[in-house]
Amino acid sequence: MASGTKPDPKASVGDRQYFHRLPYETILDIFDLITDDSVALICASQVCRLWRQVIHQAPELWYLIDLCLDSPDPEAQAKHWLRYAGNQPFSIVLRFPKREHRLQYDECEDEDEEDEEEEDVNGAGEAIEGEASFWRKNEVYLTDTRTESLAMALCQHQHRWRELSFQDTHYYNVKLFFTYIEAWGFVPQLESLDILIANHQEFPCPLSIPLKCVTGADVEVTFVNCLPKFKQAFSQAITYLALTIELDDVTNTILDKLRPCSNLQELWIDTPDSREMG
Amino acid sequence: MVNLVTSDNESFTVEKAVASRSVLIKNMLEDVGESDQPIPLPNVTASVLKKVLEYCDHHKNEPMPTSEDLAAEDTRKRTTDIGEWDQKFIQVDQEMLFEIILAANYLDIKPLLDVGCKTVANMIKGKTPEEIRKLFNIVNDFTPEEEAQIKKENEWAEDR
Repeated sequence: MASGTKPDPKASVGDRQYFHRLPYETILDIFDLITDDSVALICASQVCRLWRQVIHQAPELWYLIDLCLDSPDPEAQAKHWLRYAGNQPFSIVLRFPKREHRLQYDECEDEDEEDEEEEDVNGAGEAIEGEASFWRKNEVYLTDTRTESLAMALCQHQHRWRELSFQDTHYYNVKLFFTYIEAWGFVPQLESLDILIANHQEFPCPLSIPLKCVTGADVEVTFVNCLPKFKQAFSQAITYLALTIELDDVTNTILDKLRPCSNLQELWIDTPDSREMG
Repeated sequence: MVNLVTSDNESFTVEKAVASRSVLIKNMLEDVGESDQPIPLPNVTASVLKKVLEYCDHHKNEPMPTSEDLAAEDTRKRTTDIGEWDQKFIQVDQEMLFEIILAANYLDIKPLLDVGCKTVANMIKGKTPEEIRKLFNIVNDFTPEEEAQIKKENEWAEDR
């Protein structure tokens, strides 16, 4: 299909095919505006030969790998994007299904009976406890397996990561993902890291960030419901940090964690309940 | 004032501030200096230029995008949000929409080109390949073999 030459937009021009009268750069510009919608990009690539050729021959259109862990096959989607992204730096957004929040109950079952009871009140019920437990275990298995296989596929290209974002996930999945970070966590092109942990923990989870930037790098980071621990080579690259937690008694812990961030220029700490920091 | 002559030989006299929203015309005016000579626009018809000048007149007091703005746009995420006035302005039939895009490209009016491209991008989003073809009168020119190949390549996306 790909000929290696620049497609001619007028090759299949028809009287009412106004779109195909546009110059190549303008067509590319239009496709660039749909890159935030992975389904739209895939659909556009299946319209006709010209669109397919333009989209497949432009690595810059494949810079955003936006994956939902409950889509049919997120790993295959990631590989599809990587196939066309060429050697360009790219951004990753990992979205976790809402049902994955229930992971916590498996972990907290033994240590927090109150949560268990609350779950029952909210609809699980004693009668279906066995069934609920079955599904919880399967959900854990599903997200773990997918997180692992995705991490394996994406971490091979970590030198090209520009943005890494975990949306509404369990901290366990982030930790699992990070175990696949390779070569001392070197991410020379990283510009931003967002980790948004689903808000179901009583205490913000300490989370080790195994990443390492080059000297002089400029990275913006956002953490929600977790307390990050950095390697020195990463902390010195941080110029913007936004932290959202729901506790009021962890100030010293936070300050201690941030001590290595000697180049930090902005720090935002948001306590949604408006409680005072210690 | 500046005198512009379209491909169908119609003449438009507009304020310099309005005409200068076009980088092409602005450069021409700077090159020729003060002159009463009409500026020919062989790639733009009167109906399209009228629409383009309506846009330029509405935005004449806004700062022109600098090269720094354009460079920054390359590195940040672009949205398809369109301002309220621009949305109403661009509610035209498809032929006019694409003529405006072509004119904005030729006349080098980047903000107008953006409005046009965003409008087309929004028309593409949320549609199946067949719906897109129907909307833009595009012929499906894939062979059955290519169709099969595409289906195979995108098996991962089924049942989304």
